[in-house]
Amino acid sequence: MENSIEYIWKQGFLKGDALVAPKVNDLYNQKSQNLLDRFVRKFRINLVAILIGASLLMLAGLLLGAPYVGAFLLAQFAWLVWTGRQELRTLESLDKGASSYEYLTAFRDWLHANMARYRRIYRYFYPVFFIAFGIGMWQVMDSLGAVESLLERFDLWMWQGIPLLALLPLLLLSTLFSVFSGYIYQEDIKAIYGSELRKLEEMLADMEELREG
Amino acid sequence: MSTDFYTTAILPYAPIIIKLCRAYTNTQEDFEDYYQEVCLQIWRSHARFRGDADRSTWIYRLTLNVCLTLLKKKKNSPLVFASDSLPDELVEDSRAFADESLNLLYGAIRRLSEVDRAVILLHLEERSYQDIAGIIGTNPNNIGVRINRIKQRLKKILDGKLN
Repeated sequence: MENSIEYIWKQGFLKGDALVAPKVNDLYNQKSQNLLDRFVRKFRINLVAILIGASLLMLAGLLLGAPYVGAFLLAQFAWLVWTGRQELRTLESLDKGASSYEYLTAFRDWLHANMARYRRIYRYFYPVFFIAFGIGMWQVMDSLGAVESLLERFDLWMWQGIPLLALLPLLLLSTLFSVFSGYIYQEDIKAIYGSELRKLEEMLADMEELREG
Repeated sequence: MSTDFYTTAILPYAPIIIKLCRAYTNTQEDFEDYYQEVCLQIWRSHARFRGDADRSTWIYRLTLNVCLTLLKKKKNSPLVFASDSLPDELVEDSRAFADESLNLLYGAIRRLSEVDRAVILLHLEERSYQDIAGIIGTNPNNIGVRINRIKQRLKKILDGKLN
């Protein structure tokens, strides 16, 4: 009896300063190191960066003679930021005071849903972006008088005012991004958080075993 | 965080937080980081406490969730779960308790999986099977069997050291 773990536990905490709380410093301004909070921070930084980039594109469009394309690209990225904000809200609403299984499952499900969602979004987002960007570039070159001299020097297979030869690499690039960007996003997440996600799966598997017994 | 909030809402539950955090850390520095993180999360989440469980159960849940998902950046390597950074061969605490048997018990507990650590800590805290299942989110029927298995494993580890 004297050597039972329950006895050791009870007696052990009666001695010395075992339960003295450590000093907490400037707690309110601390950065959380929690897996979920890191995701939230990274997500938020990404959204701000996207907004800044889109605003710069809009400004460049205005200054260089492609205001409509600039506005379109800004709207396209604003939509991306808006959907990102929805994702962020869902992530922030996960309750750390829930049971461990609920908490970890909710986070895993969010992560899988997030990756699937971005795979779908990027499939269409990048082709639209590259085509709009290509049109914008063409307009900018036209406003600078570069199109005329380009057409004098090269045969771009013009059809109904569309330079088919210039359109081909654009379509190729769009297709490549459409096919691989979702995969790249997924691999990016796995590269940064791969070991944590594996660990998460291990813990959940252990908890599921306890649930089902 | 106001000192008042810390004194009234966290400090009374410090023993719970300390006992759990010690099982998931190996050094004083890590332990203080965990403790600090748990306090931060209590502060951030306290508005969500709905009172459907008693406050100590909520603190157990939150502390456990923080312990299971805290990240650290190891030198020259990407992020890892902090509890994973414990070297297998070194499970003794760098800041020992006054009671040597308790040190050995904690050392043995740190050899268990994250989930088993939670189960046995809650059992040692005299929580009922129902409570343990509620905190971890599992089935109470299987908790007893798991506790027995864990105790046997701990006994094997401790037997050599205590006797």
